Amino acid sequence: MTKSTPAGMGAPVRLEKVTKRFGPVVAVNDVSLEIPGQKMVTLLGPSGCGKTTTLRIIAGLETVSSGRLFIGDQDVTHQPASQRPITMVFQSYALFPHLNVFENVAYGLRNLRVPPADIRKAVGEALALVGLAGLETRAPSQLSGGQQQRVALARALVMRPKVLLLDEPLSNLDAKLRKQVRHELRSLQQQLGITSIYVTHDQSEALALSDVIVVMKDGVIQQIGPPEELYQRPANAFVAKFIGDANLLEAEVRGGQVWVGNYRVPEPPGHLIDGRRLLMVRPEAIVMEPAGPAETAGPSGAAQPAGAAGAPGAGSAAGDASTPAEGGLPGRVVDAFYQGMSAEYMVETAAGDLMVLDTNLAGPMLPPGTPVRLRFSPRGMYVLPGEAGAQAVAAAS
Amino acid sequence: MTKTARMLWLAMSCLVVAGIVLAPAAGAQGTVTVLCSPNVVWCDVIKEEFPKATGINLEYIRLSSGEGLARLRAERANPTFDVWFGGTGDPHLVAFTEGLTEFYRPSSWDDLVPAFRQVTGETYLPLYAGILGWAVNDQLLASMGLPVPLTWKDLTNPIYRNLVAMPNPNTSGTGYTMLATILQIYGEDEGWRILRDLHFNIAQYTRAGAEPGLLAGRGEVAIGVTFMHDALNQAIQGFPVSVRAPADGTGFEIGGLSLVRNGPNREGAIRFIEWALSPEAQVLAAQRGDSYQLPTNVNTPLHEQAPRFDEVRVIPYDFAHWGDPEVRDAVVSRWTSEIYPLPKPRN
Amino acid sequence: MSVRPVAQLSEYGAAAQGRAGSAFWWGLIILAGGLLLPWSRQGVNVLAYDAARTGLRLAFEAWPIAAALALAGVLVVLGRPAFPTRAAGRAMLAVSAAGAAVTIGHLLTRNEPFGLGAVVVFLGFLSVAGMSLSYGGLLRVEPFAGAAILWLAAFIAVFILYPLWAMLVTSVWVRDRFTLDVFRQTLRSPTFFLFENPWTELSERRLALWVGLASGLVALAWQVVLHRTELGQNWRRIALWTVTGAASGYCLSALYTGFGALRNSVLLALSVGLVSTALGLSFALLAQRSRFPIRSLMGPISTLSMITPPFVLGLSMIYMFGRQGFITNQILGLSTNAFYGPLGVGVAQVLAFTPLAYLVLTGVVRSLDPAMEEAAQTLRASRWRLFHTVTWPLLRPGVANAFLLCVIESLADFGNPLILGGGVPFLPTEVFFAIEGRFNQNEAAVYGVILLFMTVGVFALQHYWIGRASYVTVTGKPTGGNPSPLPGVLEYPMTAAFVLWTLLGFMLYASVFFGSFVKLWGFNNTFTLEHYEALRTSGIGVFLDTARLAAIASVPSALVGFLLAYVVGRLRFPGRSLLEFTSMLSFAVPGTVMGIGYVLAFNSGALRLTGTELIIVLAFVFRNMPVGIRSGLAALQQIDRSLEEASTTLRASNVTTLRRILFPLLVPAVISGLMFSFVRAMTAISQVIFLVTPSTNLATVLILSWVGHGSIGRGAALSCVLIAAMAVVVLVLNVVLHRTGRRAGPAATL
Repeated sequence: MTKSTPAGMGAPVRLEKVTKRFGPVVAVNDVSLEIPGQKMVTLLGPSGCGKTTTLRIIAGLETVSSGRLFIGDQDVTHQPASQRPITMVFQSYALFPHLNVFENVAYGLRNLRVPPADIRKAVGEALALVGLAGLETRAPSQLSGGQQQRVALARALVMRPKVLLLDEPLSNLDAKLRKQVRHELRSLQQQLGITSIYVTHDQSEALALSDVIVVMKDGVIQQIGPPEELYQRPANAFVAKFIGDANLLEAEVRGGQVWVGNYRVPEPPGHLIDGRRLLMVRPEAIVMEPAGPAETAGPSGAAQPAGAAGAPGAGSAAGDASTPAEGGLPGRVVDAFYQGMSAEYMVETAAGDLMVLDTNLAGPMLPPGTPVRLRFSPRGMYVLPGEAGAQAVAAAS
Repeated sequence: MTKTARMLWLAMSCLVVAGIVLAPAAGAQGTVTVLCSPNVVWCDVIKEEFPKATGINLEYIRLSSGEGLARLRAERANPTFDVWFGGTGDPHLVAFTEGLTEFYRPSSWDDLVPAFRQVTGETYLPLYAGILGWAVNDQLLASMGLPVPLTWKDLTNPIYRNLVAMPNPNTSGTGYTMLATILQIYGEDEGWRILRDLHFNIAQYTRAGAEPGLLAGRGEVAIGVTFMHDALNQAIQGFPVSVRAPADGTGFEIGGLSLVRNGPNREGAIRFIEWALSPEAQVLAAQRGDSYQLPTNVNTPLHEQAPRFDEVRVIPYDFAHWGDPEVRDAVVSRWTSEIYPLPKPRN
Repeated sequence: MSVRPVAQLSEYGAAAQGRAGSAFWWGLIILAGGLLLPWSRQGVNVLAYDAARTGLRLAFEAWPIAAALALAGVLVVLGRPAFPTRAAGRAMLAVSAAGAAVTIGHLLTRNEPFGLGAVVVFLGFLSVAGMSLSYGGLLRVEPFAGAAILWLAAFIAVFILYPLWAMLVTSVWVRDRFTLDVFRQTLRSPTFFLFENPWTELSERRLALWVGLASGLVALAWQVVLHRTELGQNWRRIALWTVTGAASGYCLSALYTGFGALRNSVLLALSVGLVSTALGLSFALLAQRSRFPIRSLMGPISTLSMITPPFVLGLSMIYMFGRQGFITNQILGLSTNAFYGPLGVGVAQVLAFTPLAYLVLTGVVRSLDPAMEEAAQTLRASRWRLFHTVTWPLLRPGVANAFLLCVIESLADFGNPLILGGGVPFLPTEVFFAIEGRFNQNEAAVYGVILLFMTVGVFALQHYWIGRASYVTVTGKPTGGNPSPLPGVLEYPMTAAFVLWTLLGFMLYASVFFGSFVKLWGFNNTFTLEHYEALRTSGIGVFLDTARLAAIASVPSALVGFLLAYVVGRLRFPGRSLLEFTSMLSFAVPGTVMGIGYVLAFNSGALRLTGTELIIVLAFVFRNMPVGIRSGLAALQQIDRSLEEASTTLRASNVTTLRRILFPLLVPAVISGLMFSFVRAMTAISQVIFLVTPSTNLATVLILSWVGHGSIGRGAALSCVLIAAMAVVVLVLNVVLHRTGRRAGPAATL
């Protein structure tokens, strides 16, 4: 994919202990970050988490309160924005309304005093790249939202920046177009090999686009890693909750075994250190079947619980159905939502309300009130590091 | 839009450049700058005629004599003006004693009316003489059933409440002349009492000396204290006023002409003074300048309606005393603090 | 967007490499200006060339000149690199600051009027200092912005703050020593204010005490009834109201029974403010909610009132309402000169300022969301209750704003009291009489200081009361929905007031027009063109001069206003709000105060400017610049900041962004700024009446002096020429605005 990477493009970006204060508010708090060259890196977080401020610091649109910033191996901390080898695509596109498409794209090149003939060539290439050849003389107000977005992209790309910054560029597009442009953006980035830093609050966008995701909250980086890692091995409750849906349960780890109440969870990955831990279970990793009398009539012919070694203290397990410890977590459906391809349930259990995503819709939906039994599959579980109490508080906020 | 922006830049640059290029060469040689205190029409006439007679350009600014004195004092270090033309003599005298102006003996010195020449001495030059009087709107008085006042004392009669206008002595030499006249006729105590009683009848203190005549002409007031030549101007213009002089005596002014010390164009100023005292120039005042004062050059023909000294009772005005700046300041500030702010009785 | 392999896009390096830095060029400019242009001058002509005073001649005699030129040489060396290091930046800052200081020191010790060369040198050093602040990392803005900030700060300091300072000093510094005597004398003078009138039977002081006591008690009773349930919690509020009530009762009684300029001006300002605001509000409400075509009438009327010199209406009022006035005498048969004095001035001011109040309030009224009223109506609120509980609270800030604006305008108005005042003292005219009549600069300065504090106080009050929220954009967009019609009780009197007001205004304008074509206005009504013919000798020349100066001044007013709006609205730097406040100060200060400040500040010494055209232009520029700032700020608010940021990330410097992005988008704002500055300069009187010279007289001053000497027909003729010319200018520029606005409109709201 990166075979056509031109030299000089795709420089790495490094932030060293960058802090930004707005009065008493600390927007970015002691952030150190290495963004590898030629990758698509996403800054992800809820609004107010400092991701846009970080992006603007890289662009030079905000000054840092302390810390240093490098692009390539050049210290650009005090370089004005207009001197940095970056370009930016804005959420509002920020197309110059009084200039036509050609002049918009040519604007930056004119500032670099590129000869007119070269400008014509470069603008033509850039517009062709984003599929807008032929629209040079249009005014921005005559373009559709998607077209405006592409002009903004072409305007940024034509400068051949070492780093391309994208500030929620897709948020003004409708859902369908957003998905399409997202793919195009990704392949364009890979094809050109530009280091791209992408700010979004939409985790699905981040998962689909990024080589690396940086999750931020309250000006502090929570986790850095490729999408799969973030999804499967979140560093903390916040990341777990923010990326995808997650059930967080308090679990007891004893000698490498994980217990939720009386249910021994099958072989979860993660930090299996003895003590009270927080267990993340993805909703799609929970298998649910009707319990008790409904068991024989249960249409969801889920795999029978495999015989496993008896858990210590299993004898203490109480229940009308004298279930073995590995037999699942008993619960009762509280709410059910039909979603077409799947069904979402809220299930009340002794460990709290859990969200269950049934992707295997083989029969009618279970009505609220149905007693059920839940079993977790190892693929969608993770034992979070740290003590359960503090984590739970963090997750709640 | 960019095109509009470019055109706007162009237009603005053109505007500024044209404005600067079109600026008249300020302070060009060959221009006499005149502080002109009489009627603005007369000022316009000299502005037109002096260049015709001498080829020297003339600029003027119209300021009443009080304002003129103020301006000369302010510009003592860097005078703008070359000549001070017209206006009551007292401020001219003040300007001379303060060293703002200097005496110049014109070639026509011997042709000037000796009586006036003796009054001014070697201080300022007499340009014209004017007699203090009233512009009386007889129509208004008749319609209100009021008699025509005859003396200064008559003016203090409460029947004329809000029917009299006089110039503010702070800004007008005419106003001061009136103060000095009344004080000379009636003496200090009686004079100040009359001035106070008169204050209650005053509808308006005007900024300039000719304005009371104007107000009388328009019927805003019945009696305007002003110089008779200014009143005559109103009458000739067609306003329903008659020109009158108080029977208990009246003062007069000698209009002054002074050479400003250290003015920018002294030669031009001297040419102007020579011209202004010539009969040809003096006759213009009445002919075209709406100004009917008595010219000071004995060779100047008189306008047939011009008020003459032998027709009214003119007091022997003590210019030496009342023209003294200290006396003047004392009188004006006493009037300003004791009479001018007096609240009028409500009725 | 189909992705396909493309040919390599070419690489572009930083363009600035290999170019010399701006400091280098400024150094050269300083050298050239300092060597070839005169450092001082003799005459009044600022542009005059005087070979004997150039740096070439003087550098060997005057060491400061040599030093300044040497420092410029250092800058040429230091300024070579396009992007100097921080250390180099700080070095250049030190050098340029020293250069500027040496230049100023030389000018002050020489005590000769400055010449063009000194200006170039000083501004050159100032620019480099500003840029170095940025290079040295002391100011986190771009070099250009740093220079712009210093330029603006210097100009504002010299042409707004220094004159006011000179006035303050003159008021307490008499004959080379500090004294409060003049203050004491002036404040005690009955011309200023007389409380106890010895000629009346009752004692004003006692009366005021009683009235104060009574109104305090009324306020107390009202507040106690209002808060009867929670007296304890609200005692502070109650006490405040009681004290305020007593104080205002005392003051109002004192003012009403008192005498003098203070009393006249304050009472006049308060009543004019009340009446104008009430009328403005009525018209604004009518314009939105009546079927009467008021909006289409108010547009031209407010424009007309804007292009009318402030005293022209006063002039025609004499003929309508004087003792022989057409209305008072011919129609009503009265014989009164009550219209001379506060009443007449008040009527003239109400006529002149109502459009102002209307303009302020129409934006507020239009921005009222009809949906809110509809919501209130669905809650079964009666019409009156609706107005009382919903509409009025929304209007209140705008109304307060309009009221205070009219109060300030009335306090500052000079022409109407002069023409219609009838010898009654008012504060602005007393400034004038003190300086032009009594030639007492110190007394004039005292009056100026009093006026200054009053108006700045009102502005502070406005700021405190309404804050920034009330900055009304006159172009407020109407929202959807149908505003509820006004209650009939309100609508009919309002409509009647509007009709009356319009008729009156129309009549006054017609009478000025009529007066310019008849021999003797009111006495000899035969048609004549003699007044217009008479203009040929002196009027037209002065008129063209005025137009020329106003036109020159309008360009810097608009551009400096635009730049200030940008600097204040978009840049962050220490002292920003101070810069904004001081730049608006010249707007708040009455023209007479600014005028006397200019006379006192620029009459002698190194900054001597009196007698030049330049000082008139400068007075115009700094008086009207706030108009440009306001329209610039309003327009900037509508431009998305990310446009500028996009431009910046596309390697544009601040200058480029300003020139290629903001300026084109702000063209309509700049044009309207130009128009307003021009019009305001053409109609200005109070701030320039002290500054006119024989060679540069101004039309308004000329009209005033003609009117003062009875040539009313000529005055009317010149007024008509003035109004007609400005109408043409405004019309043409409006057409231009409309066209650019239409083209820019949809795009600008993108």
